[in-house]
Amino acid sequence: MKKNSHAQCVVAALVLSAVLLLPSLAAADMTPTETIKEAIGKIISILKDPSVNTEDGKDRIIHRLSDMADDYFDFEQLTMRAVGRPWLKMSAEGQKQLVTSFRRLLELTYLKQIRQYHDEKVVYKREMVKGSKAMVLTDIMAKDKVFSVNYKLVKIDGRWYVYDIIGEGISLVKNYRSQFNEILHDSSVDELLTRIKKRVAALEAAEKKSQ
Amino acid sequence: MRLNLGIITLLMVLLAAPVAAMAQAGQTAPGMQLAQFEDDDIWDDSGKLITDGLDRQAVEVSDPFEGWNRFWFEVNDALYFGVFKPLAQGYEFIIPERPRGWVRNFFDNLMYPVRLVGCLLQGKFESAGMETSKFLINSTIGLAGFADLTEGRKTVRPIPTGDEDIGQAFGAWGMGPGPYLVWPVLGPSSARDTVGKVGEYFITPTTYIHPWYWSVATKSYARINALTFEIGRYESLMDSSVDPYAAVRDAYLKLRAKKVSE
Repeated sequence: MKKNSHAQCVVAALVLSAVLLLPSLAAADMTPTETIKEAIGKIISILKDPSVNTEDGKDRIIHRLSDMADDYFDFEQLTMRAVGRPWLKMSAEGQKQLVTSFRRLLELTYLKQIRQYHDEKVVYKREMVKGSKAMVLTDIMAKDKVFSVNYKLVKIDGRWYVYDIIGEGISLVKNYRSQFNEILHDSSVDELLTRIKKRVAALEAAEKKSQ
Repeated sequence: MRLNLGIITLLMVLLAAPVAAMAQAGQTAPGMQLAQFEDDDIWDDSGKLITDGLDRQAVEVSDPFEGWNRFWFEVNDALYFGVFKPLAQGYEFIIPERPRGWVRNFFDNLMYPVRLVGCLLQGKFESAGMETSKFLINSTIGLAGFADLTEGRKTVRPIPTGDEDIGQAFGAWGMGPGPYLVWPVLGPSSARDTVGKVGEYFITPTTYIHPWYWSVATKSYARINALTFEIGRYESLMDSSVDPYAAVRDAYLKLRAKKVSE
């Protein structure tokens, strides 16, 4: 009897440690597609959560999505690629400021759009991996249309992070790069930062007004 | 023996060619590293493997008329927010969604000649056939096109949609978009798509309404009606961009490139 309970203890400990280890192992071993699936799953569960689905829950949705975003997005990679070559000449402090402001701009515009999501079906078409880079091709089946949405990912410390989203052939990073290029061509990085901050301020003011 | 030598020489040349190419690629490696933030992508945006520098250069934007374009972009932006959007919103307020849908279907159906020519010019005969049967069904039992009976129906075999136009056909023939152009009222275009639009003008049935001002009025009405389904799209692009002109230019050219590739 004594021996039996000892064995049970060992088994329980094994199971427990396995359960505890599993999430971290799973995260490390997640393929790019699984990473995207998990992210979309989490977004849907946040959007469907009744506690935030109220009029005054708007802010909370944005907050929760924003908290979640860092687990799946690499905003530094995204900003760096949107800026391009001038990034190399920027100070570390300038880079940090730009990442923060740009992230805020994306939050204010894209997270607002995500809330219009109506549980459309996502079809995972293909996944390509080469070294620390990956791309996941998907189709979103809307009511009477199919939208192509592709994700570019980069592997950092064993985890995949999205650094670009390409919707209907329009790359988020490249669209911003063409805008940043225009500004950087005529003026400086400081001007770019000011322009982004101005846009953020205007959006925040509009948000306040609508509440 | 002589033949053998010939074969060996040929083989050597063939083998040397890729090596030489690789050496050349190696020479540009430091430059590539500097630009790593811009083009260390392995796949392009549609998921195609990028094999050489040409694939990257193709994305360069040609905009020699930026002054003219920016001017009309600002004018069109003011027109949109000052005239077209309020008009569309007023109309949207009065007319419910379903009748507006019928009107949209009617005008979409009427654009059949443009889609047909676009398909035929690209040799897409199956899509052309599908567009034709859609047009026949919707124009007859679909009550002159007000009802879209074929919407959402699956074909027995997957046939690519016939959402084609002449500009896309030119693109499919290998023509690049040429310089980016913004036209008053009509909005973003390119040299190639402008030529396509001129061609489409002549095969658009509403062009032949007499007198000319009724033709213009009809086209404007169709546009305002369609706009009621698109309100918000332009606004969100404007909201998210720090240089709206560049944002729209990139979006237009990428969307067209995607349509051409399909």
